[in-house]
Amino acid sequence: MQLLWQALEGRGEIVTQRYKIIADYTRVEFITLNPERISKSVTKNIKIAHVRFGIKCCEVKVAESREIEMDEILLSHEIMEELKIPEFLSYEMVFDKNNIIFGPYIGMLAEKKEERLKQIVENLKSYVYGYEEIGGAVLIFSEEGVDMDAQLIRGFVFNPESENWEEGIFAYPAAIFKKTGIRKKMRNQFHSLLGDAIFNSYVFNKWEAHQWLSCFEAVRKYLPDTVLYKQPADVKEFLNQHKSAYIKPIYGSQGTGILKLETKGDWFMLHFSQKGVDKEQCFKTQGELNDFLKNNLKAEGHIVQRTLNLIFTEESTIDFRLMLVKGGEGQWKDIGMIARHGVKGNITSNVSTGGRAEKAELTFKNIIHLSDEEVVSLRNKMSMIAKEAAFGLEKSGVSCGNLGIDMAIDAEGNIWIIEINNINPNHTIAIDAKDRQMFYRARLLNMLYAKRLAGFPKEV
Amino acid sequence: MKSLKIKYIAAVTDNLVLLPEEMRESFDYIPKKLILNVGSWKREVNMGFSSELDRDTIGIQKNIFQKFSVPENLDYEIKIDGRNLCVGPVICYLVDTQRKYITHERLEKLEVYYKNYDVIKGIIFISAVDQINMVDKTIGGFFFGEDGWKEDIFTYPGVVYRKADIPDEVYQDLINHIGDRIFNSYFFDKYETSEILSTYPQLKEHIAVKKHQNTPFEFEVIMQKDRSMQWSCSGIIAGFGKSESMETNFLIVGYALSCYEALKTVFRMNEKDTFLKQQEIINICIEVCKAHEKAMGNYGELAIDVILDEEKNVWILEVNKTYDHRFPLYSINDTEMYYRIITKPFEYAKALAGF
Repeated sequence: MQLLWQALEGRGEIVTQRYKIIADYTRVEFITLNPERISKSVTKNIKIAHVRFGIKCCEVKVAESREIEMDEILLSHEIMEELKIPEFLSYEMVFDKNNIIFGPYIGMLAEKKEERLKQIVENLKSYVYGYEEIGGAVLIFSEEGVDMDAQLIRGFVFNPESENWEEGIFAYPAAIFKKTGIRKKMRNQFHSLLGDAIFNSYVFNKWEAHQWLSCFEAVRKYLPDTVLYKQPADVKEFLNQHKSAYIKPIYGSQGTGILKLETKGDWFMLHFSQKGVDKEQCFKTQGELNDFLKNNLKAEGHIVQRTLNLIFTEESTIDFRLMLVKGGEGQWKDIGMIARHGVKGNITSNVSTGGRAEKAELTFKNIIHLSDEEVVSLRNKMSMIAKEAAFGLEKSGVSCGNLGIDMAIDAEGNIWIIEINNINPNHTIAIDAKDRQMFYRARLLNMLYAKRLAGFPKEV
Repeated sequence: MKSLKIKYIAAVTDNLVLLPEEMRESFDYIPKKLILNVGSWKREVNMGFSSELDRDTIGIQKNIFQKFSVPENLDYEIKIDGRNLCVGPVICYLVDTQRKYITHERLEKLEVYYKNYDVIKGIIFISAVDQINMVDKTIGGFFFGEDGWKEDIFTYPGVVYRKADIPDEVYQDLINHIGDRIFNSYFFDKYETSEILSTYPQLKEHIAVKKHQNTPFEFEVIMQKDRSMQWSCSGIIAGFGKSESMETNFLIVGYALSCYEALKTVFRMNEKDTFLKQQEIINICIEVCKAHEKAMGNYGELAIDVILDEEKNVWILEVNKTYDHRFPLYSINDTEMYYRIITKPFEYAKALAGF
């Protein structure tokens, strides 16, 4: 595969050459290239080529012309229509044997419902702030907008000139950045047509993540003891061992539905949050507790997890969200870690429930009172653990490129992995922590990884 | 990767390496003989498993290493690659040309480089070029461990990280035995930089010309490789003042900012444009680093002097192959950046050594 590099005229930005594709009404099934712009070694002797856009492909004859503009390519109009190439964009071009691939053509599956997508479409612009570096077509769509029979998608493509989304019907893209869960039938169709160019491929739950990661020695020791809830006896046994436990739904995020259970002599105290208000309930016998568990928990729908004596200040407990994303080079990058200071007494430290966020380094310095040197060393260690966990998930078979790793430090200074979010980890927490640069970076890298999967990797 | 200690054993069989019973699983197929690799030293040895060894210990028969030492009390990483058993990493940091310049004070200052030894492991030693013994293929050097500094003789390493000039004859001998795992390989000059960059159409346009050199405002972009062996930016520092040398300038004028602050305050850019401009600078610098590597060899860190003109176009002034790691300390007092910078070369060295 060879990228066609050329500088723009004059003092341009450093970008790969991009081309406008112009509909050619004079010839049928032809692509016409300007030989002055395109390196001879690549196109030499090619007479027949497969033009590819997204998952679609058309056979064309190759012609040369010095009459056309340097940054233009002529493509027979019926081929343009067949491939559904939006004309208002510029594309990079990759030659791979007899394939001429235009792109990148990236899809972002952002919501399940079209209605909801329309509401948030403006917010998604932050993903294309770095459009200059992304290029090509960026399509955002909902699960509802996908017509699996016709293999067409109703959605919005970004127009860099107007800086607006253009609604329309488009072909399947070459790579999909999936930010929401979708039904298996659609997943399977995407994988059939796009191969592995989808992240995140599978939405794992808390129990799966725990089980899978336990297989990796380098990660296991950072996972708090956890069992899957099947019956009240599991909780009883766990409490005999640990005195207190969290009960968490295996799906669910932002701390919703988490219960904390403590033994107090023969009694059991339950802490939970209802409509943002913290509540307590006391069970005086094992029987009372069992009844509660039977009525409120579904077998194999919850995990029972050891509580940790986390670092805290007078006002709050603290945990950390580490953002791990892949970029155009396809490697994991730790782009920052945010400390979440929960409201005291709250059983979770989620910002969504009234906590506060700041860069982890500040918390290390001001609250744990580490020296600069210790800050860097602890930060590096947490980064390495997070990356080991990411490798573990990949080896388990999940293709991911956008992870939020929730970690904690206990009073003895031990590091723990509490939870891993792969479906749509919230980048706006970086803004809560007053670091917009981190937020922008997360979003741009997401797109550059999608670009890579679409066949346009950043050359290393 | 497994981390193990070495224990010297007096064995009945000659030339023997014993592995703990638990390591049996690490082999797809158990060979009769192994090739033991330490640094760039190799030797075929007989191999066995022993249940008497401590877990996480490898037994090596005394006298296997004759001309150099491989200390017993360190943590080593072990890699099994076919019939090769690699123990390491062994990294040599060449800090000067002569042994006599490596004083106590000098070593004290270098201790900071062992800060992340826990994650690197193996042998990291500090040497001068005149300690290289081309006959024995060994290098004298200093190792910093629990008992402080110790001087010893080590094998030719897996990787050389160098900041000093090496005479051609010695350099060729290193290349011959270590291969292309010496960074930074070649000390190019300013003229060669522009020669290299001008062969790339997309970089040529960023080479600064005379008229730009009076800009009162200059960025130092610190580019390093880490364990992923890819270029990334460890930090950008903006300095003010008119002069040839940015570093002396800081001392006189004493005025510097992080790139982020500089773009926001001096160029009055908003958050989004600041991000995109930094991204642009970094992307250009990555291309500059790659261009230098393609033309001249292996580099682990480069510091690139960059300026922006009134239209905020990016211009490259100079590429520095060595620079003072303490720069972020005395310019913008950023200790975090400093520690980030000093830990990266050995992370890269470890990856380059194959660990």
